Amino acid sequence: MTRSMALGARITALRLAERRSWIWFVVAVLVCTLGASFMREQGSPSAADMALVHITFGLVVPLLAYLSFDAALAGQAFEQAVNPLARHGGSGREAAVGASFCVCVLLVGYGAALGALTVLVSRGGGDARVLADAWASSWIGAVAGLAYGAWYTLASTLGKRGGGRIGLLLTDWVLGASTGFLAVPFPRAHIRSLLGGTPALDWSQTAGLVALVLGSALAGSLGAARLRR
Amino acid sequence: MLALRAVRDPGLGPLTFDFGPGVHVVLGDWAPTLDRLVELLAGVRQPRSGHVIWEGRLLGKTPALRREVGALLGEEELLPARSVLSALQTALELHASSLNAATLLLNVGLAALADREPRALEPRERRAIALALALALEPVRILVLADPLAVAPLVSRELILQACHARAEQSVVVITTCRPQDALELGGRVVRLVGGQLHVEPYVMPPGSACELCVQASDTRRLAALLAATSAVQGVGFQEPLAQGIWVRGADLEALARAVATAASDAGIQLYSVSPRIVPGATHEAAAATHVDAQRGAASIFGRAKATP
Repeated sequence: MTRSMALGARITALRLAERRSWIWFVVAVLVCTLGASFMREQGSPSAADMALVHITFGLVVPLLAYLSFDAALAGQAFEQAVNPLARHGGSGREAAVGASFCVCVLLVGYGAALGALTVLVSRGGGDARVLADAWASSWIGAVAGLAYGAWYTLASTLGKRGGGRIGLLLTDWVLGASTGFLAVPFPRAHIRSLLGGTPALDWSQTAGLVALVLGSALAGSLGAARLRR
Repeated sequence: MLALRAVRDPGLGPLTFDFGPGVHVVLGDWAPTLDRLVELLAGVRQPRSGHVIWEGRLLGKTPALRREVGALLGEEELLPARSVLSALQTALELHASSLNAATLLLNVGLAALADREPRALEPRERRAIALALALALEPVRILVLADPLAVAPLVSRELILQACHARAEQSVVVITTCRPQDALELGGRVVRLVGGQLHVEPYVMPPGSACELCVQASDTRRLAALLAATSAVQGVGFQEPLAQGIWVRGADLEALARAVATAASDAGIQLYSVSPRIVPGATHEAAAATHVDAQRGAASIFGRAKATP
């Protein structure tokens, strides 16, 4: 890790702390807990799946990713957010990679924790498979956090004040919810497939996972390439 | 050579202009446009079109090139850190400078700010820190400063002037200001920014009268009479019809603006617009001939309304 990357990560961590971004995570925990409890009370055998697909990964994680990036970049585009470092001779691109890494680590943790929490609350302690399912939801949550981190890295390079972020949030919600060709680029479609929901283009879960990883890698790389050295 | 090539940006251009080694003072009448020019010359931002070139390379393109620039922007943002001292030390390290942040702050009289949080500083304090950094950096080959004397007295005027001129032989020093007095005090080549274009002009300061404000108000005649009796105002003029407004002249733009605001407020006159205008001495005399001196009530030129010191 270069000095610019380390400094990019450090200023991002400071911005997240200054803006008390952890409050959003507390709100997310409350929403996921309430949502999972509500689903459980409905008595449906697929309460956990419904809570995961529609609440935790359909609503909360994408919104949390959006809010985390907005706080980490102080509501600016990536170029402006790392400008204080770049103008003093740091590498803007490396600083952005460090900043993105910092938020991605946070989102991986958020995704994993919220996935496991949703399963634990919606299934309760009496279910024999609860731990295995919590673990499965946890790693899917981690992958989801990473995928959204990569996509928001690209989205944050678009628009004068990072307006691409709100664009991604909305298109992921609208197009990612579909199952056609237009859903393929968006994380939401493949995360839903991993959770047992309807896949995009009837792809298998493995194909969906590969598409998610490749799409995210491409988005992250494009985002970094768009920034000046 | 720091060169602007067909640069276009809001309020600027198309600009093609060269800045060689030495002190260049860009005098304009609209601070936001001057601030944009500073951002472009410091390589902080790319122009909407055209290029800013430093010795044949695009300025700001690489970290190494950016390390050659010391800048004070119109609005400064320090590096996010727990304290000013820490932010400054990080900036110095990025510039590969061996300077110590605490010593630097002490030398410019800003040691009291060392333990403050950068975000908690006032805009002028942030600019003072950024100015101290820009003036202390070595080996900076381009120094671009947005209205540095406005930071005084947080950083002393003498120190700012000395530091700028000490760099003049080796570096390109570009300073922007809206105040003709500051332009004179800063010395060097005066370049006027008018209508988005840069013109080299040997600036002549009319003695004791440097700035004009064009004022439009609900009762311009009464306002003119009130202002003519104000110490900060050295001349008041207007053209018929009065709807075009009045011109108020004085040595200090801020004092003028304050005088206008106070007079209007005291007399219950509503101000519609107040806009500054910089008056080059050469062109002013001709333009002034058409004005009417409010104090004498007869056709006159500016500056005669009161004895000029």
